[in-house]
Amino acid sequence: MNNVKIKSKNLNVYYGEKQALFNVNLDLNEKEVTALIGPSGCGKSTFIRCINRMNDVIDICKVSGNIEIDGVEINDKNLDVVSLRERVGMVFQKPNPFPKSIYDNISYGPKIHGKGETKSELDEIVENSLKKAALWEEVKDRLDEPGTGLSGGQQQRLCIARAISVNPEVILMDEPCSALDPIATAKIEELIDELKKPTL
Amino acid sequence: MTKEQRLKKRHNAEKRFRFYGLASIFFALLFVLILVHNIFSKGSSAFMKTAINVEVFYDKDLLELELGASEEEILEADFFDITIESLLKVYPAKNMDEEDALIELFTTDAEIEIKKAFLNNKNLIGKKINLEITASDDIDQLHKGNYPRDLPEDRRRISNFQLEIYDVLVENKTITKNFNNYFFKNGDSRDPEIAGIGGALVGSFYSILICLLLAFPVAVLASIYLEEFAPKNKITDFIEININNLAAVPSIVYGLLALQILLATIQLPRSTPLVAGITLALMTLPRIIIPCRASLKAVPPSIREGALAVGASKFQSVFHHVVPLALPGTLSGTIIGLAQALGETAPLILIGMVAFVVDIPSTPIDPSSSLPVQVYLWSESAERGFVEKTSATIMMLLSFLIVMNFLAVYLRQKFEKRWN
Ligand SMILES: Nc1ncnc2c1ncn2[C@@H]1O[C@H](COP(=O)(O)OP(=O)(O)O)[C@@H](O)[C@H]1O
Ligand SMILES: [Mg+2]
Repeated sequence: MNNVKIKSKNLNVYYGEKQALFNVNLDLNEKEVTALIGPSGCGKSTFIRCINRMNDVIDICKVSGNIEIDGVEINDKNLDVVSLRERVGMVFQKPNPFPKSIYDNISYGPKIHGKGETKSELDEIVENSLKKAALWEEVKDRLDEPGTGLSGGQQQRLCIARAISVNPEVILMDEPCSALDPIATAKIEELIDELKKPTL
Repeated sequence: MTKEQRLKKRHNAEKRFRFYGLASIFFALLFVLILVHNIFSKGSSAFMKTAINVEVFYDKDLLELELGASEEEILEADFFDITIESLLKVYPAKNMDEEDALIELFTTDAEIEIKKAFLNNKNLIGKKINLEITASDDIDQLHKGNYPRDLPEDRRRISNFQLEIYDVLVENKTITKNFNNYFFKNGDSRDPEIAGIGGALVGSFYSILICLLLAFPVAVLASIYLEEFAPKNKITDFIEININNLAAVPSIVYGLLALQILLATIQLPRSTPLVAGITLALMTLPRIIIPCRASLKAVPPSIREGALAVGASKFQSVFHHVVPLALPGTLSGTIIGLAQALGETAPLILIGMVAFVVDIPSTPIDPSSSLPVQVYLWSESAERGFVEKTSATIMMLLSFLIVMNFLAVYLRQKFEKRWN
């Protein structure tokens, strides 16, 4: 049995007057893939967006209760969300690559966090991230082409590579395959299985 | 109603709609064509000026200048006698009245033209040279066919004697039409033949430059703050409504505001591009903020979320991702705002840009005119020569506007990135 990584206690989330999550108590373990399932609108997205505080972006969203990562409360006003999000990456339902080159899509995260000081270090991060996202072979010859020119499945793997690039401890994925065909889905599922391995 | 009848009705409705659409486009184009034709047919002749070939003799006795005189001495020197002597040789005049009539065929600046030719070639003392001396406004208009010569003499500005000379000049081919460089180079003048839009061009350029420098950064920063950082509440709603209202405020109100604050209170110099630029900036500000906010709004939220999710701060997500994507729309909005400012007349009239300014401004704090105000000034003038100049100035103004609007479209299409 692995250690508990994320612990949510009495988590309540409101969108204005409307309550979306009711007293969620949930422990998520390290080095595991945990899937949340439920009907549309039951609050899956709402829950995972609490873990990297993406709900801060939504004005009307109010979160109460506790979420701890490694025993540290993250639902704290004074917490630096930037470093939290560096540790907790996210992949969205709809692929959202930046309208920049494939290379810039991946190197952006490391750059703003001061990882990869030199060009060769960055090159290495980009290559490793794309390899882990099983996209390297398909794009290695066209890294300077726009990421938005890729197919839907490739775009989503690009977004996964982007999330991996800053070496997060946790990756949140919000229905990453809902817009993809079965073959692309299979690839990403395989990839998710790879990512939980301790070598990472 | 049978199925066929319904189908037929639907098709007919579609056809009718297409017809209405085409008809309205046709009417719109027709009016544009009439407008353009009207301006072109009146204005195109202003790009040419009439000149009369005169043999000028730089008589040493009349000049009182030595060989190797300095530039200053030449500028000081009196070329009046030489001018009169040279002009009188064009046609034999029998008495003083006829001499006056003959000299009236030439521009009042004939002496300056003769002096300039001498400045270009200082070895002309004691020599003869053929110069194209600009004709007076009346002869210019007559030669361009804009002046009716069949009026009775007492209602004509050109006497029978002058017509006689003109006909001889035409016969001898000493009267010619050349490119009118004065129109672009000179400032305003009471004499249409030497009046130009040089001053207005420079004035407009400075005004628009100042307008751009003031309005663009303020508008962009205001838009970014309002769109990306400001909390959405009653206050920001109120500000938004007011910006939209300001964009609709008649421009003359900004002129009154400038008159009160910039001229009366702060005492900035009247009639200057500086004041014009500030006034136009105030007016243009909301007109840039609106398209700028719209293009920021058009950037999909998923781009912001993508940046935030890899740990970018709010500031980084906005300035690294959102602003570059909104830039093409912002720039084209700015250019269109500036194009509107370029054609703006009313506020400039209020801040005194209607003053009659002959000199071309060398700095933004010199009194100056501007293109639309020049149009207004000349359209009020009685001289026939200003009619074509008015239309020609409108042509220049329209060409600038067209260039700016094309630039706006080009920038938008060239740099607009597509997402998904
Ligand atoms: N931005 C929002 N504003 C208001 N209500 C929202 C918002 N996002 C989600 N909700 C509501 O919260 C509930 C949970 O939504 P969500 O977490 O997206 O569900 P799921 O991801 O499981 O489909 C839904 O009832 C939805 O209507
Ligand atoms: Mg969802």
